[in-house]
Amino acid sequence: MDILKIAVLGIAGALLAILLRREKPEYSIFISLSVCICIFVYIITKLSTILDFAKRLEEALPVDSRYIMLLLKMIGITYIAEFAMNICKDAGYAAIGNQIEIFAKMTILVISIPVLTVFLETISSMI
Amino acid sequence: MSVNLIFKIAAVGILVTVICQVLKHSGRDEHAFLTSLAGLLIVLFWILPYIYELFETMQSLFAL
Repeated sequence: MDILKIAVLGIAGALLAILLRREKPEYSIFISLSVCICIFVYIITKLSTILDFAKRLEEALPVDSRYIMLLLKMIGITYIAEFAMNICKDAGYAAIGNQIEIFAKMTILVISIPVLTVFLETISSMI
Repeated sequence: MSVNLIFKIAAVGILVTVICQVLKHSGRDEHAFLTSLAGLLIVLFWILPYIYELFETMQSLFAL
C-alpha cells in the first residue's frame, strides 16, 4: 500500500539529510523540504477525495455554503503555516516559525469575524 | 517525478562537500566557497518550481 511508500520515503530522506548535516547543513534542509513536497503530492490525492465528500455533504445539509468555504480556507491556511513553520524550526530558527504561526492565527481570526458576528446576532435576537 | 529529486539533491550535496574538502585542503578556500554557492544555487533552482507548484495546488484546492 502507499503508506509503506511514504514511510520508506521519509526514512530515506531523513538518513540522507543526516548524512549531510555535519558538513553542509543547508543541503539537509533542502532534502527535508523536497521529502515534504513529495509526501504532499500523495496527500493531495487523499485530500481531493475528502473535499469531494465535503461538497456532497454540503448539498445534503441545509448549511450555508459560505461556512464550509470558510472552513476549507482555514484548513488550507493552517496546513501552509504548519508546513512553513516546521521547515523553519528544522532549520533551527524557531523565532521565524513562531512568527508564521502567530500570523496564521491572526488570519484565521480575521476570517472568522463574519461568522462570529452572525452568531452574536442570533444570540441577541433570541434573548 | 519528485522522488529522484531527493536523490539528485543528495548527490549534489555529497559532491559539493567532497569538492569543498579537497579545495580547502589544497589551500584555495575562496574556490571552495564558490563551489558550495554554485551547488546551493543549482539545488535552489531545482526545488523552486516544486514549491511554486505546491502552493499553486494549495490555492486551487482550498480556494484561498
